[in-house]
Amino acid sequence: MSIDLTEDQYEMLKEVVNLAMGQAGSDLASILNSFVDLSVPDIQIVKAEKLAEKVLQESVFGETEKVTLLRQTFYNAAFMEGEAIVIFNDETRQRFSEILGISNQMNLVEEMDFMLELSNLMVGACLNSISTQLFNKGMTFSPPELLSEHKELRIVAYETFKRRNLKWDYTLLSKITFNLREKSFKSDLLIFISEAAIKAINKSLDKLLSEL
Amino acid sequence: MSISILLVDDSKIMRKVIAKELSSIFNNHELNITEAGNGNEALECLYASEYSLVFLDLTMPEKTGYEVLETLQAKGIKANVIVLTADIQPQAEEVVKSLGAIGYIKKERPLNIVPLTKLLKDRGMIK
Repeated sequence: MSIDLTEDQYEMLKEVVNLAMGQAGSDLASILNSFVDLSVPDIQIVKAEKLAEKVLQESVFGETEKVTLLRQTFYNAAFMEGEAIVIFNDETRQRFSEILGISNQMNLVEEMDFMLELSNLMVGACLNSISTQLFNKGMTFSPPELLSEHKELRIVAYETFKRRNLKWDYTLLSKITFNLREKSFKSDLLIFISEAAIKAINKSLDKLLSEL
Repeated sequence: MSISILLVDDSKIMRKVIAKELSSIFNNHELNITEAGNGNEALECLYASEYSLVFLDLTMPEKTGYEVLETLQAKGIKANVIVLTADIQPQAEEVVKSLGAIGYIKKERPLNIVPLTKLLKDRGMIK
């Protein structure tokens, strides 16, 4: 099975993810009533052995920044499956009330609820758009769950993406960063598409390319 | 009549799609299309030449479309810029128009040419 993307497939996938990111950014801007600076999505096929290193390299957060990770799995009827991880740093968490314009500081339960809600929104908007564009099918999601909190990114990356924890050899990794202009909000959305799904995605990308 | 167009998008595929649609929209005109893959390349082109129309993506490496518009505004360079973007957040249209863009069109799959055709008709560029 080919786990590579041709240059054209990569370009097409970048555009698919770009449109999906736009949808997620719009939803985020609406809920936070702010302007979201979108970055160019970063897409690559990564070997399991290199994943922790790659996450550290690509993340908007520094290796020693304390972060919270939330996780959701997803699948659709076209065998596209994988998991998404949303990362917030502690600095952003502490500013949720300010970002929302609430005078009282959120308590820990409210903070967690809000992060789960944001995670669900970003993952849902993005993955549904990717799935619809590639397969004309919606996506099914697990509820978001807390993976880790208040740990340095370096520590959590090596813990989470340890080679022996991963059931595959390669993943298609898409990284999207959301920044709020003029507010201290930063978040990374990492989408890991399973090795098995890459073949189905290749086929869909070829179909989209043939329609140009 | 010849129309000079600058297409600015980091996606080669989008540049190809837009060029194809423009050929069909301006079917009675000779199109002279220049392509730029990021904001810096776009500014180099805009400093060197004048274009009848500029199609500008917003999310690009090196320099974003917003930064291109800000630079043009700061330098007083006039250009007929139509933003064509996946950045569909509620304030985006207002922001790019305040920076001098004459139009804001959302990227869709497949590309919907109706809003673009309407904009070009409204500006008297096509009949």
